Amino acid sequence: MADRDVIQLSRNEDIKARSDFLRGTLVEELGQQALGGLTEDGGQLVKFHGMYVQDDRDLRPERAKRKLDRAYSFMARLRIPAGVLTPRQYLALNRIADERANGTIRVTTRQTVQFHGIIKSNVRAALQAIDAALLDTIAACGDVNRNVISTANPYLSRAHAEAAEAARVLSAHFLPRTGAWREVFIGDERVLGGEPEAEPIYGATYLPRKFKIAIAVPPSNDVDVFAHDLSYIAIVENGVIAGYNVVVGGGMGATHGETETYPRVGDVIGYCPADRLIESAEAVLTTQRDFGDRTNRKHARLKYTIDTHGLDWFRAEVDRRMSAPLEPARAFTFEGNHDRLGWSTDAEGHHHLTLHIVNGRIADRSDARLKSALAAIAALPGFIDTGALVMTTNQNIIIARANDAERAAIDAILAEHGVSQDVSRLAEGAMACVALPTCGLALAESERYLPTLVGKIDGILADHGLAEQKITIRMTGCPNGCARPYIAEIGLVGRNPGKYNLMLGGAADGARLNTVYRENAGEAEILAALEPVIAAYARDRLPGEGFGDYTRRAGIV
Amino acid sequence: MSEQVQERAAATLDMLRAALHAHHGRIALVSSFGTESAVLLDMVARIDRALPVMFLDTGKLFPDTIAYRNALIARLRLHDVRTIRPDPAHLAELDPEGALFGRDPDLCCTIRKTMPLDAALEGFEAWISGRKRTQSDQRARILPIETGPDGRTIVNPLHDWERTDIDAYFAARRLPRHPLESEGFPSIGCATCTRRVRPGEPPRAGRWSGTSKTECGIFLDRAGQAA
Repeated sequence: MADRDVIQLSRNEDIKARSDFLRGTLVEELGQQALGGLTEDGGQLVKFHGMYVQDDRDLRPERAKRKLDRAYSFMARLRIPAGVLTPRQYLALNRIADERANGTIRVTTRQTVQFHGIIKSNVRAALQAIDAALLDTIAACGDVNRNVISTANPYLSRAHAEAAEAARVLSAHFLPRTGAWREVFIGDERVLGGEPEAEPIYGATYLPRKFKIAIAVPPSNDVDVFAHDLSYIAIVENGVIAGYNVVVGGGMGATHGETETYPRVGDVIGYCPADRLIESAEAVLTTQRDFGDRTNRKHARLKYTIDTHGLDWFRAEVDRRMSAPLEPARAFTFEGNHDRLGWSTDAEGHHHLTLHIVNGRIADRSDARLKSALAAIAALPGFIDTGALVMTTNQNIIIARANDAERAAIDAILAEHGVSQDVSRLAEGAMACVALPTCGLALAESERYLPTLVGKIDGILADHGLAEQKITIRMTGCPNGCARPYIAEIGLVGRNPGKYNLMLGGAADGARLNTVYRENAGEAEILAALEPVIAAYARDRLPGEGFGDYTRRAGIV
Repeated sequence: MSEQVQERAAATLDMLRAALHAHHGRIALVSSFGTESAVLLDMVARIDRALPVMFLDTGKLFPDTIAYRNALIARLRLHDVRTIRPDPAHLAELDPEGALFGRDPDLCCTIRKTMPLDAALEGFEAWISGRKRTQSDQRARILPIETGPDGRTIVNPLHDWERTDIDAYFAARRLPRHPLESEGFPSIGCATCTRRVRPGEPPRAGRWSGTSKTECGIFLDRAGQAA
C-alpha cells in the first residue's frame, strides 16, 4: 500500500475521475460566450466528444500586439467506422462546412473527416446537424478507442464488406456508454431514475491514453496495420473472412529529445477466428486499461505497456482474458500501403473512383473546385440513393457504386470543375497532417508545405528517370505522427519552423520503421541530402526494389 | 405521447417482456431497420439491450439503410445486432453477376433473405417481427403470436398499431427517421426492388412494383423454394 500511495497519477486522470462520465462543466462553459475557448479541464474533456480547442496561429502575433485574446475555434472530428458515408450524409457535411466551419472538409488518416474553425457559438448547431445526418463525434479524440479503420471500400468484395462491418461492430462495442455527448451538445435530458450509468468496459477513468484499431484486407495494407495499438489482418477463405491475425503495440507518437518515447511497429501475436473478434479486442484493450502507465502520458500508449512488461507476458495476459488462447498466426502477404487511384469495376458491374485529394483537404480553389464537384456528384439523381462516398486512410475519397451512366456524369462533373487526377507518382503517395495554422501541437508547416516540397523532389526524380516510381513520402508538423511518417520511405517530422528531421528506410508495405538521416534540416539541406541517394537508387537498384528497401541494402541508413 | 399511444406502448412493452421471458435466450428480433423499425428497436433497448437482433444484409440494400442502422445501434446502445449475409456459394452458383433480382425475384429473395435468416435462427425457438395489420391486405389478419412457416413462434407486438401510433411514438421518444422516408420511400427493401411511392398509393406499393410479388418470403411457406 505504501508504494501505491506515492504514485502520482497524471493530471488528466484526475480530470477524468472528477468529470461525472465526461460531463464536467462543459454545459456551463459552452454558455460563456465572453471566452472563445474552454477552461483547461474543459479542453481536455471535450476531446472525448471529438473536439479540440484550437486557435489561428497565423493571427497570434498581430492579436498579441493589439492585446487581444487568441482567435479560438473548435475542430470537430467525426466517428465514421470504415469511412463510409451516404451521399446524403456527405451533402449534410458539405453544408455544415459552409454554415458552421471554415468552408472546407478535411479527410483524415483515420478514415474520417474533421471540420476546422467552428466558433464557440456554432458548436452546438454544428453537432446537432451532424446528429441529424445520423453521425456523431463521440470518442473521435480522447483516451478511448478512436475511429476504427478498415481497408477501403466495402463494396469491392465480400471480404471488404465484412471488414467494414467488423470496424463498425468494434466501434459500437467500445463506444463510451455515457449519455454526456447527447446531453451537452444535442440537448437531450439526462435520463434519471433508470439504470445507474456506468462504463462496463472503460470504468470511470477510461483508458490511460488514446487507443487505435485497424483492420486490413490483404494484399492491401492501406490502413498501415503495424502503426496502431491493435490491428487485425483478415485471413480470407473461400471469399469470406475466416479470422484475423492479431497485431499489437504499434504507435507513431514520440517527443523530440526524450529517448524514452519512440515510434514502434506492431507485433503479430496470433490468430483468432472471426467470431471471437470482439473478445480478442476486449482482452487487448482491457489489458492496456489495467496495466497502461497512468502516471506519464508520454509513456502511456500500449506500445510502452508491452515493452515494459514484455511481449510474452502481454500475450499470456491476453490469452488469460479470452475463452480460448490465440492460435498461431497464419501466413499473409502485403503488397503496399498506397491507394489504387482511378476507376475500378467490381464483379457486379459497379464502378468505383478513388479520387486523389491533396492532403485530404476538400476545398474550392480558383483552379480546381473540388468541394463543389463532390457536392454535385453526391447530389446526382440515382447516385444519391444508391451510391456511397468512402474515405481512405491515405486521405483520399472513393466515389463508390456508380452505374455506367453515373460514371460518365461523374467524369463530366470533375472535368467541369477543373479537378484533375493528373498528379505525379510521388504526390499520389504523399501525406501530410494538418499542422499550421490550426493545430496547437505543430512545430513546423506540413499540409501547406508538403506539395511544394514534393514538386521539388519530383524534379530530382525526373532528372534520374524515376518519375514513374512509387515512393511513400509523409510529413508531420510535430513528432506525434498523425500522418504515420515513421514508416514512410521518406519521412519528414517538424522540429522548428522550416526545419525537419529527414528519415529514410521505411518499407513500401509499411512494415518497418525508418531511420533519421538528417536532423533539423531546412529545404535546401533536405534536397541536397536526397539528390545523391535518389541518383544512387536510380543507378544501383535491383529489379522491383523499392526506395526504402534500397536505402537499407545500400547501408545509407 | 397521447394517452392512447401511451397505453398501447405499455401493452406492447408488456407483451415483449412476456415473450422475452417465455423464450429466454431463444428469441431474437428480426429487423430491417426500415421506416418503422425504430419503434420495436427502442422498446427492446428499454427491456434488454443484449437481445439478438437479426439484420438481413442482402448486399442490395440502400446505403442509407446501413447508415440508419449504424446510428440506431449507437443511439439505442444495442449490443448484439447480427448482420446476416447470403451464403457466398449460393451467390456464386445462382447470382454471380448480381442480376437475379430482374430474372427471378422470388429466387433472389430466397437466397438473399429466407435461407440466410433460417440459418441464423438455428437454435432459436421464436422471433419478433414488426408487421402491422394496416400495412397490407395480406397482413390484415396477422395474430399477436403465430406459428411461422419455419415452425418457430413469431411474435408480432405491433400487430394492432396504426400509422398515427407509430408517428406519436417516434415523436415522444425523439427517434430519428429513416433518411429515405421523406424522400418518398414509406417502405424500404432492396434498392433493386424498391421504388418511390406516388401520392395516394399504399405504403408497400413501391415494393416489387410491376410484379405480383408483395412479400419477400420470410413470412411465406418454405415449401417449393429452392434448396
